[in-house]
Amino acid sequence: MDRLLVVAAAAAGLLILVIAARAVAGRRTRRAQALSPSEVWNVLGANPDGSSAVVLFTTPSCAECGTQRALLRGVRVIEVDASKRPDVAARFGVLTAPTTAILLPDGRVRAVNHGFAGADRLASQLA
Amino acid sequence: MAVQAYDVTARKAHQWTMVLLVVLGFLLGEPWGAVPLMVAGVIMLAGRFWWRADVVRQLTWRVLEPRGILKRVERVEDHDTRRVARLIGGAAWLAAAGLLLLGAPLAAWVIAFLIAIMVVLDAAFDFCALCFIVARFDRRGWTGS
Repeated sequence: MDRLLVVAAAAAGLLILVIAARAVAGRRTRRAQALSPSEVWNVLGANPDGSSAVVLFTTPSCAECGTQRALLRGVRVIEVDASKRPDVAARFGVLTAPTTAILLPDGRVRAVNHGFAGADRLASQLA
Repeated sequence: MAVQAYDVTARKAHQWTMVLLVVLGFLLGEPWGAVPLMVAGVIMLAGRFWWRADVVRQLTWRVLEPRGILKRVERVEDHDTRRVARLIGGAAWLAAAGLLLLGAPLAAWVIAFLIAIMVVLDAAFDFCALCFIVARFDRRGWTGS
């Protein structure tokens, strides 16, 4: 009985952790979405070209980043090494790698995916 | 790099079964709890190098999906990191089983549950805890990359 309670407590703790993590990720996403287009292009050191773009945040040891990069073929990708550009990563609220930020043609941040984003999700965000 | 689609249903079935084995081990207590822990560790490690030893995936592919009990879902996702995680997880669960048999249950269950939590996060939310940890280390320059 005691052990069942421990398992239940562990499950409840995990649930609270997940809810908290989602809240943190959501807050960081909203902060990135609050960036003005000029701030976005300025921070990235890039210029708009009239098309949607994806900012791909990587780190040197990120194994998933190669797969994420391969999924982004055919889209304008602005790659940022978060370990070399922590300032940029902080502005976009990057928590992990890969992180993808979807930019609308005017530079507004449409969405931020914390962690690997599948093809279906990317396609719907870029549509 | 070529993108490859994987059977997500089989992955999740495998992960949830491993977690259930850990929970079963915990509920059984000491010393018999070491048995399900060892089974989970062996499936994780052996299945990493020899897919036929991954009995849960075999069951999913040969029985559960063909009979319509589980629906096959294919998705492009990264498995390189998961293979590393699988090695770490399998070794950790075997080590935990050893600790249990050596009379160190607290250390054993802490290790076993830490790994189980990481597996639950991937199975339930597709959240790669190992990627998160490595990314934090990378950003602090602790990985030497």
